Amino acid sequence: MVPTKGQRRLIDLGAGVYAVSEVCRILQPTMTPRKVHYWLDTGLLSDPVRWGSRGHPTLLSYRQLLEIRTVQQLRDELEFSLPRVRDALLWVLEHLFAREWSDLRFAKGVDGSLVAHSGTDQIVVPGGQGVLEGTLPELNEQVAETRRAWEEQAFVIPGHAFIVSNARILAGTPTIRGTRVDTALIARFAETETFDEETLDEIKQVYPRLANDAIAAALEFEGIHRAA
Amino acid sequence: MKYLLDEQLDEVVAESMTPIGTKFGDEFTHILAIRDQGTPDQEIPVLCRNEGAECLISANVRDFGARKFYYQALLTEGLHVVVLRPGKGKFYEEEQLSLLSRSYRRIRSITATATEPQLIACTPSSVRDRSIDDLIEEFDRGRRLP
Repeated sequence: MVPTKGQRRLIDLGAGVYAVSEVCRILQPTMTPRKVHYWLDTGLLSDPVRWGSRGHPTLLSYRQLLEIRTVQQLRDELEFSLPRVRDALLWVLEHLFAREWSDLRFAKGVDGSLVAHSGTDQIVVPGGQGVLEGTLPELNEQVAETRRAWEEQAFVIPGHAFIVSNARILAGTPTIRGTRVDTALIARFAETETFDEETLDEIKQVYPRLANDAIAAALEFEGIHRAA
Repeated sequence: MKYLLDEQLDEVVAESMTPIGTKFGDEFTHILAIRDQGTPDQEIPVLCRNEGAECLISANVRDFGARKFYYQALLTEGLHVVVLRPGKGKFYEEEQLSLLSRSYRRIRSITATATEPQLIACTPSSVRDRSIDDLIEEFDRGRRLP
């Protein structure tokens, strides 16, 4: 059978696509569907792949996954009120995903204000005077990490080193890094909310190429923890 | 027809299906027999074309959700996509083989008569197929009215 001509492709192969619940699962534990929908509805995020309706979930892109992650980090790290810093956030998101990347960094201005810089462009973040200078290196590292995840189209899920949402693999479904094996499939092998060496051995029989650490990470990501 | 089994399935399943498929002139190859782990989605249709495979066999234990739009993209590349959807419980190789072998005649029948690529979902109790247009309609129904 040959590729079909003229038929609409809903997404391109290699582009991530996510239900809101999936985004929340990836950005657990603090992300909620309510927050995502609020940020979408208030125009803080770019337009989704598809707006939802009854029985049909809103679908988000890989870029939106990273946008949500960035807003989440800035909000959590800087404890800003979103309406107040909305314009600054939009500026940050625009520069973070720009085709031409100029190192995006936060720094303190001479008057103590918080300024985001990208190349020769900059914006003052309202209310940033109270932000401690010591928090900025970590924040800048997080921003740089997000840019790397954008360029590589693969996002290492926070707290789960072996687990990625790779836009190029199963359209971003959480998988074990370097494989096409999704974590949900691995979780099927745990009968309870805990696992032990026997569980790992069972899974290894089906997926002999996976390392024990990677299998354990997949189970942990799915909320199944190592038995004490 | 030649079938390519994706990485979610045990390599043994391809080997075990081979004698069954041979009776009908079909072949089953596991992706890891020809490529390393982690083949990107975009390379799957190319790989299938190079191998002469017209159908990708995969597995999914969660809701179809967003994943069906990935399957739709594979369909537009001219591939049939079979998705094994097990019931509750562990998805050992024997369960994978059981679900695929029980669905196999129906899969053959669907692909033999199809005029365009089909998404074929196999559960322990049913085999259901959808076309590209069916998936587009499902997608469009989700659009918010102006």
